[in-house]
Amino acid sequence: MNNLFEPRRFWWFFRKTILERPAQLIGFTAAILLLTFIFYSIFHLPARQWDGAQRISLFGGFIIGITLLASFVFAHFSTNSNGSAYLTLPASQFEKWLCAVVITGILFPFIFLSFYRIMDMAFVNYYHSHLDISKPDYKQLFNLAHVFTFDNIVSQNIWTLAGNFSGIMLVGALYFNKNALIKTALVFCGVILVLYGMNYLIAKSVFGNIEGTFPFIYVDIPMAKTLYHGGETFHAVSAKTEILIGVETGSVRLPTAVRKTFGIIVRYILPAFWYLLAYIRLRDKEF
Amino acid sequence: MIDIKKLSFGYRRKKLLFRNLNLSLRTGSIYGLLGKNGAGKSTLLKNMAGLLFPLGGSISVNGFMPKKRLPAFLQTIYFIPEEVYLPSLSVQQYVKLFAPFYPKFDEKQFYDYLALLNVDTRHKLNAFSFGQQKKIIIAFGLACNTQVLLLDEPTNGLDIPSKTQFRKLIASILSNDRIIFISTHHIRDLENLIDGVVIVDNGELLLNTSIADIGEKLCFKTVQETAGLPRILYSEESLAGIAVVTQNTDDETSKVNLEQLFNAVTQNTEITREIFN
Repeated sequence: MNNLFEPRRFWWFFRKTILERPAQLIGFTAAILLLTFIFYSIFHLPARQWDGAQRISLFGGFIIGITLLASFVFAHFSTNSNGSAYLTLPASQFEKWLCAVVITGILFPFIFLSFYRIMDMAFVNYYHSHLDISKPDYKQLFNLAHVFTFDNIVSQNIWTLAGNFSGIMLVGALYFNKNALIKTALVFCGVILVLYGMNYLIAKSVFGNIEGTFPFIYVDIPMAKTLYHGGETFHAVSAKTEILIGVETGSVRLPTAVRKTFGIIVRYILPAFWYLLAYIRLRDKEF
Repeated sequence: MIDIKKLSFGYRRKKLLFRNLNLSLRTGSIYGLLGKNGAGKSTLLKNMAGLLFPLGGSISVNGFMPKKRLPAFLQTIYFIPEEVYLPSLSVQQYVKLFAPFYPKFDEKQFYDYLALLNVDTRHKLNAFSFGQQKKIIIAFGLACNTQVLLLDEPTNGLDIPSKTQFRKLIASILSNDRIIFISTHHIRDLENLIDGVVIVDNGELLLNTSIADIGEKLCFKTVQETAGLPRILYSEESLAGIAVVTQNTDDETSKVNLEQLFNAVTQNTEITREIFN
């Protein structure tokens, strides 16, 4: 017997996971799809704000969905009986982890994005088909709506957030036995606040007078009012990376390789780290 | 075979529940694990099931290290905790989803056990009362035919007829390749069922022996006077006289009273050790 992975055993476990709590998994997924549809409709219908509707519904539906789902798949530890039954069921820790990864990282995204694409195409096609081709502004109106692509910068940022949030929730569900979602969210907010505070203090010590900061994103520096153009606030990318001076732009940028590395870390390595940490935590889980 | 060597365990490193505990359980026996509240009975079972990990020493169950929770190991044990978990499924769905994990699961046996325990299988599992749910889990656990069956307070929530049926069931499934380990503080539920007694207290193993051995070495009787009795380990006044547990020096035959035995062992640890070692 292979104690790490057996396809048949994995299938039993996967089937059990889905059918054991259909309301939580299937019902929840259906609710998220409905919510996404409502988001899209609300933001699109009144003002034909295609771009906004597409972004908000993708961001809201996908991020909320995958984050909550990730906190559900390991939610077996709120009671002694449920936790014991889960951990002593004869499947390997790897299979149990893989099942959570497949549901969160493959199945849900596949269902959600398929639904999203179909919904988006239906809305856009409906809009295009109801335009009057004889009108002079037809082309302009036609170009207002396009099917949202999944490889633009907005989508990429959404995938990055989804990968990190879902990974963090998987880990949190294995660290906190009860109310894992709330506790993990609180810890996450706490860490962000600490990062924000530290970033603010460091930025202040480096630049002196600053208006605002956000970790790894920007430092707002009010430029010398008397020397250059008074009172303007300029937006620079990351502390010490881009400083605007007067009407000129004096850029102190991070080397491209470092910026790329940072992007790769946030986009790929960090989510992979959370998912791997979830496996280690599950393997070492005592209950 | 369960072999525990120098087990140390505690929920906090500074406050150990078990320190260098040694215990060996052989197949073909039903053991009763007795201990006061908080003595660590459930904790010991969880260590055996791989739910908790020893801080020191080793545990071997059927040749496996439980903490690794390998599927090959988990197939050989079934752990029934004090509180049971059943999803919102029918009995048939439950069998379909959970039974494949246990290669020796016998569906006919399962339904026979349910019938014996008077469980109606037509409802959803989570609609049953706690006692009924417990019976379903017990029936399922027995039908899995695992080599080791760990039961934590199995009779909690069972009515009196069900307790009797439970005892009959447990006695009927014992085979030479099986170990049944029952933890309980309802000592009387184990009367006439177990053939081995394990008593733990203050993190120590006070006794691990067979009922036959206890009958040989201790005498349980009711007397009018205690004067002249050899080594009294426990005495308790009752309407009929004084119930005593003494060392059996005259090869007397008496029925082992588990409650009195427990009190005798926990109150006279050193004398008990002398008698049994």
